[in-house]
Amino acid sequence: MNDRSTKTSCSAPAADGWPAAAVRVERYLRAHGLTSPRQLQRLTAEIIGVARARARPGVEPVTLAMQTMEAGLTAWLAPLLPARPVKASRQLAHGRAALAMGEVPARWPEYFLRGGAVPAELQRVLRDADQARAPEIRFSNMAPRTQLASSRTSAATKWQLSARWPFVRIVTDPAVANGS
Amino acid sequence: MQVQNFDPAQLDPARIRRRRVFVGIMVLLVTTPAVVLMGDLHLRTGYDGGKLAHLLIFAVLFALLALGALQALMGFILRRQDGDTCRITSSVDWAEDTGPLVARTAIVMPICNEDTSRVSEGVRAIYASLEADGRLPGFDFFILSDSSDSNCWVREEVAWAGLVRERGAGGRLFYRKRRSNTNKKAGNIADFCRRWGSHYRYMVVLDADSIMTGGAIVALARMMERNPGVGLIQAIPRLVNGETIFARLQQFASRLYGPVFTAGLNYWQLGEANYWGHNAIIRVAPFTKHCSLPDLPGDGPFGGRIMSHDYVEAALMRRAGWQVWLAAEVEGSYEECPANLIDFAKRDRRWLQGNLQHTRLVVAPGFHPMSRVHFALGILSYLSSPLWLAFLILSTTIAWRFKATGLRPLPEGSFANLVAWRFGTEAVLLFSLTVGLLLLPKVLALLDLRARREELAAFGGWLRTIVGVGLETLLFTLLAPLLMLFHTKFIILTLCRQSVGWKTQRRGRDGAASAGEIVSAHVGHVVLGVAWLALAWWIDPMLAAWMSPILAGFILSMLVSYFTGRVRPGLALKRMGWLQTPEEARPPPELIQLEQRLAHRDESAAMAWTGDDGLLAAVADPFVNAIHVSQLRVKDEPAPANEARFKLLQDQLLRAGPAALSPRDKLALMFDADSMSQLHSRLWAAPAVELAACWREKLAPEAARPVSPAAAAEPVRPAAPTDFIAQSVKVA
Repeated sequence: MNDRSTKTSCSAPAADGWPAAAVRVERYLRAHGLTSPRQLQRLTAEIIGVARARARPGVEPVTLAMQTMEAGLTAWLAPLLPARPVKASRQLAHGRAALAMGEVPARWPEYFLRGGAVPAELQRVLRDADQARAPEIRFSNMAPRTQLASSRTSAATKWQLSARWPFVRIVTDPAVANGS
Repeated sequence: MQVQNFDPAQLDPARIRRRRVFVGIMVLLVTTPAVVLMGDLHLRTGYDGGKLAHLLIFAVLFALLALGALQALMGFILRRQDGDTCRITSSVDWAEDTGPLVARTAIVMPICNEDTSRVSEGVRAIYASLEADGRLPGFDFFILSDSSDSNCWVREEVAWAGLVRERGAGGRLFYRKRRSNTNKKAGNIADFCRRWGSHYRYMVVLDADSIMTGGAIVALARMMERNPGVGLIQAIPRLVNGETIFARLQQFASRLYGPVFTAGLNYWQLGEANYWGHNAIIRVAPFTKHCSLPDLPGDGPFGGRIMSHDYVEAALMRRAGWQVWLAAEVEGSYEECPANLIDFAKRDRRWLQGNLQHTRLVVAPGFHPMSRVHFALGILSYLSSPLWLAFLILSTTIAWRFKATGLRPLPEGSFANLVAWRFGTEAVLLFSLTVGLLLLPKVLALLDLRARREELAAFGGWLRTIVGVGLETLLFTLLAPLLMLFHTKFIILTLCRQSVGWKTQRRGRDGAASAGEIVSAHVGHVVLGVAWLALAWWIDPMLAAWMSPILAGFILSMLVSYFTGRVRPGLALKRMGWLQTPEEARPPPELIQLEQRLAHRDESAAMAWTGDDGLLAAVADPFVNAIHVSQLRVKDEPAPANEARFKLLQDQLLRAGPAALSPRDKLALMFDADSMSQLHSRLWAAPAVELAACWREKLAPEAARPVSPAAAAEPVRPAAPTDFIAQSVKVA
């Protein structure tokens, strides 16, 4: 795989689509914060190697390479993060977010996208980074309890109520004023 | 804060009533002689409808003036006596009550298209302050976004993620973007209450420019813990970070005169105080239960959604039996203010329409009488502008008729003859009384400062403080008539059913108005000023002299607006120590940190995004995409028709770029988590020829970065088996 990957590295002659695919893979790994030249080269070569082995007519190398990359990323993250009842693409997005928040590719390049056990610290950082979502939603009812009438209606109501005041009744009601 | 045993629940209603009746009587006692004097001046030349209206307007304006001055007087007297005994801050024994807080508190910051770096730096400062106090475990932070600008939205997500990463704030600092910004800020907070409110007993509501120290937040929470009958406590936000003369004038004035005013406010408001919309702590359960805002009947400026929500929420809280207090002595609560007159007026236009809407609520059933007083005073604070203008127009008309008819004041028939006052004496007395009431709070604030030597030094000493008061008085004398004209215009526009939008406020350096904006805003004022001056001069030079401070404001409006809204002269004054406030002289660590970080603020590419850059980043950048998708709400399975539509939009976006999509379609895609995930995968897996030019640019390899010596010398740690990728593909 290493021999094959050497041939398809970024600097390889553009005989077919594989050099472009390698450039894309390396760009994607860099975008994840992987800066170690050694790991970049090794992972790019490995991914391109696996993708080349799956090559078939009608499928672009870059497509195969990035599908391989995605499958690798999904498989690597799966045991490290709790599973959620969401689509795989969304689960992967959560994983990528945790990767970026924990700066995992930059801090542990030699373990990134490799099989086998990972350091406990890496796993803890990933899980902590995955906790950044808001707390569980617990819906409360918040419905308006005030019924507001129009100004005219409110004023009329106020007038009716104030008409009950003794002073107002004395002034406005002759019967009350006369004491009858 | 002093240790006292005040229990708001035990506050005697008769005592509360006595205080309010006393303030009312005092206002009447001050207003009545002035109204009698004015009435007598009119009596000397005979009454008519215009003069009656003139007198009525005068009475209303003078009563408002008297209320303000008396409030300052009461505050001054109380502060001289070591403070009011009925203060919410006196309910806690600050020396003893230092244990951990039992209840959880959410600190919520609703934002809408704000300066992202300012928001994140503000949150960082508050977070760091609570962390330094060791009180962080009791608090969660929520940035509640209503941003409609996609660049702003994505920038906020990136800034939030950076903040979480930097402070290790995962599980404590959250970001939420609302799909639809129904009911604006009030709706944003209500949405939080509905979803997460039941997790928290209290919430501290902040504005986008609010800063609160950990100490202030803990103090508010402690007061809530101590007083289970209190539903809301409002801290007084001090104005800070002003750079223009206009902003520095406001912060100087509010800092110097504020303490006597707020002490006076607390004297009569007590447990029926008001909510100012931010820098306040709220008991979440009653707020959720009772403070949902109803729609006002009808449409247009007076109906529909309530724009100025804070007063109404306080009134609803009080109606449900919960007390609302003002915590005037809590230190460490700050906010920023508009940098220039035009932005100040724009903000006032929103507040004005919101306050005018409250006319419906003054007579609505069930509210506490004090809540009705708050509504009425809020309305009058804006309505006083057209009243003042009408007063000036009537004054000019009366003077003109005086001249046209050749009338002279009657030698007798006036009560003033009993004390041998002439017309001129009465006029001068009335003028002096008015000016005296205007200046009284300033004098009282200076006298109050005399007892606080340290604070006086922080203001820059007597000379700088008194010169500052003089400068502030001079400039606000010129600015006040302009605000009068702005408010009058806004009221007319509101009555003509022209609603206002809710635009983002510009603050700080970004807030300087352009020359074109200044000219278009003030050209009418200048014309009016010149015409009015000519008319007044023609009628009577004495009238022109009497009106000169107001007319000078009109005529010099462009100059004053431009000069006070510039940053450079404001900073020059700051360097010289003029208009200095204690927060400038001895800034708290939170403000120092904020200023330092903003001086070196993030000028990265994300902050300069324009056009569709935010969308491009949210699709192409693995980090941004991951953060964006992980923040979107999980939805039920979409309908097949929707899925087909999204698939079509994705194809268009990748092949033709964002320009091919309508803004609505772009937002729809950005809100759909599956689409954003699929777009990311499809983009990176697509051959370059199938992509629009903007995507090809995004995927182009970066220029070769020099390998750092550290990276080159990286030790080879034990590597795992190398067939992991092959295995994972087989599994997939």
